[in-house]
Amino acid sequence: MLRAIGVSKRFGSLEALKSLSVDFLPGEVHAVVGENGAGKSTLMNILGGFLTPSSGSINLNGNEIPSGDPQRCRSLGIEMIHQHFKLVPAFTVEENLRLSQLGVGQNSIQVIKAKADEFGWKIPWESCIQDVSVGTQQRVEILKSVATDPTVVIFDEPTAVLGIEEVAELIGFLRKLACDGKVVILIAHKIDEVLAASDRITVLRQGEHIGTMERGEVDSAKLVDMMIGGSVESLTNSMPDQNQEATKSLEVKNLWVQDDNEQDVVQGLNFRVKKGAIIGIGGVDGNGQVQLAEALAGVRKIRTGDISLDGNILDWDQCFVGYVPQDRQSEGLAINLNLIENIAVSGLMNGQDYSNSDQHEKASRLIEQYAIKAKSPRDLAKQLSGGNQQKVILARVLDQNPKVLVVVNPTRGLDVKAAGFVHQKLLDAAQSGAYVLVVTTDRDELYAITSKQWFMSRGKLFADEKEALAS
Amino acid sequence: MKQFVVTVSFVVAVILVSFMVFGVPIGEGAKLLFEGAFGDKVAISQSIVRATPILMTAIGITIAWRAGAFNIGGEGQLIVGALLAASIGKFILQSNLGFFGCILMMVGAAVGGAMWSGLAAILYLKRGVDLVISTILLNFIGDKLLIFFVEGPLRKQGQTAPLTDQLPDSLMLPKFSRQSDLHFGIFIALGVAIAAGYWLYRTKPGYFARIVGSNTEFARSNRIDAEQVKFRAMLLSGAVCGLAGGIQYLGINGQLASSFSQQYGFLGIPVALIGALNPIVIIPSALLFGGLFAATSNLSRFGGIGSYFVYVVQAATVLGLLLFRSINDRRMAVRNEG
Repeated sequence: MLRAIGVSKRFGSLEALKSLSVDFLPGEVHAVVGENGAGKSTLMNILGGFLTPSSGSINLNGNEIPSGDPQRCRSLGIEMIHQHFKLVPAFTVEENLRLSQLGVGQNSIQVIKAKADEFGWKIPWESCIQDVSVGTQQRVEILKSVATDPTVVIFDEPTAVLGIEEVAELIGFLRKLACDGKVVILIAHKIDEVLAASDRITVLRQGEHIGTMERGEVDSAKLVDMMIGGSVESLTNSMPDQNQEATKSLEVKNLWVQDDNEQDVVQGLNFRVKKGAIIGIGGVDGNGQVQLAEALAGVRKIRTGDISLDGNILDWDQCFVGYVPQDRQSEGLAINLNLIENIAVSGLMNGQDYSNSDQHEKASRLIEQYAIKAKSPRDLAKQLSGGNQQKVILARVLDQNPKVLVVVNPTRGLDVKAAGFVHQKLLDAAQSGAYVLVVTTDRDELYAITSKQWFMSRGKLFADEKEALAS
Repeated sequence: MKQFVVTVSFVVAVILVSFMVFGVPIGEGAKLLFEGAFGDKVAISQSIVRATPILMTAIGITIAWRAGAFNIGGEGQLIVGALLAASIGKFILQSNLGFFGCILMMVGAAVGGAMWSGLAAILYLKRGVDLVISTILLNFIGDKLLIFFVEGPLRKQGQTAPLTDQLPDSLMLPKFSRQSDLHFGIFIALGVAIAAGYWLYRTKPGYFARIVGSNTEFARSNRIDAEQVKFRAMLLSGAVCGLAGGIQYLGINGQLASSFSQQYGFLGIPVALIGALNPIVIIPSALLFGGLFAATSNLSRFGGIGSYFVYVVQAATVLGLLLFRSINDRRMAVRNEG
């Protein structure tokens, strides 16, 4: 049993965790939920030995765990699967696994392969990490951890990157780990996943421990209430107007796009998006959705085919296309630059001149308009929470009133409130006449905000999800 | 600025520790060092003379590095810049061009430097050759090229020592007085530093360079052509480093020997880092190290202390800074995950 006893953590004036006491039992999947900034990740980092608590202690089977020593925690059997993978992109899967076994138990690669077989996973051992899908990367990350037969496994928002199928598989996997008698701790945002996966649920809000409940005691409404301490605005939005003139459209004809390895990952797509519609593209991650989005955004070269806007071939140098990429930290932002600099880019690419005072004003205006939590426009992008980072990207893009808007997983890792805000902004953009394309692996999001859903599988689009999965 | 204060404290600490290591009495050593650098007019002018090429190359390095193009070839670019200036000088030696000739040679120096960095930049753009490696290797080639030209085509007729023709004063950069080496080049260097600061923080190309240097993926997803930006930054960087060579040639001797460069191209790198890759902060950073350079001759009475004292201080400072930064980053990273 893993016990947190009166654990507190302060960062300067911020109290990230206030005297929290929870028991995590063997054989259970224990979910820890809360909004962004509720203290979930802080708690997990303390359990994993990455942070030293300001007060309180952690106990594993009656023995106190030394704090602030991740290596020691690992050797005691506490493993953590991080939200941001700790893998070397240029190494192969096998090399990454070998690397992770240095210093800890000397499990040979055969043991790990046997584990993968046991889980029924097909892993491309010889491929480089940067070439395999996010879902596979996660499995590698999991294999790294479970190879040492840990007593506690902590998953930090593992479903954020996964498609619907993969989520179901992951939940099954978590249950299996628990059945093997391990303590499984799951940090998550999505209520339905939490309810499906866990035996007990601990709710945090602004560092405070709101409660720990058996799954049977709560439903999703109550859980959301506990998380945000008030009622949420309903997300059910009316679909955007359909009776726009149909002659105006964004049209894609016979579009072929290659990935970085020169494989055709978008294969001859044809579709038309009507003005004011939000098209959703779902499907399991890694089926060409991102490359399609990049091609539409003018970021990736098109091998053959046409993209035309209102009857003319789309020229990205003339027409600004709003693009919200899938990974905020690596693509969406220059995290070491400040908000002014991060916001300026869209306007400058839309042909505006550089002026320091204008950039500064614009940043201040957007911070207010989008309620971005920042002390000043000069804050570095990395100082913001995930939700606020996403708002920065949306703000700078939407401020240009783009005719075409392409977004990928726009609410990945965001809490309920922030996700609602993002969705509202996308709906607004569509309402004001933009062509909006949302690529998402989040099924709820797909149906909540898009007026039409397509599913991508192996580079092709399907109107029917089952058909896509079967292809 | 905060970083600069931290850095200067580092420098002072490192100097004190070095004194202990080299067995120099601290009080006396510090006094001599200060007097040697800023004690009187002669000392100050010597410090500025030393700081001028270092400032220029540091700015050149900064322009490339801020765009994520790791140009280590300041040395080679400086040499080739000076070589091209000297080649032009050979042609206009007898002419009456005067100051116009001086400007012509400076332009030549910038073009020479840009050609040298351009070689590496083209290799990078067309074949993806790593800039660090190609620019390092081009340093060696540049160095040998200097020897070849000084001993061969540019060698002064009837001269036994391998030296190029001596430029007449009329073709050289004006000096402030006959007694000192202090020349007009410091104004050019300061001008270039300010211009680089303006370019980096007040113009669109400079902004794009910073974006590319900060995160190429971010640049890509916003349709900024990172490769082009790096290519241009490399040319600009080489031009400034080449100009540094030209100014050194036109300001001090008006003559090239195979020992022309005193590693100013390499020194620019740590000076740029200590100046936090910010052209304005680099100005005091360069002056500090120029001063240190000028002052070390004052220390020579204590056994074998020579100019390498500067390298020790500089290297130790950069290492200290890197350590400081990595600790800081790690702290930030842990905090962010919390």
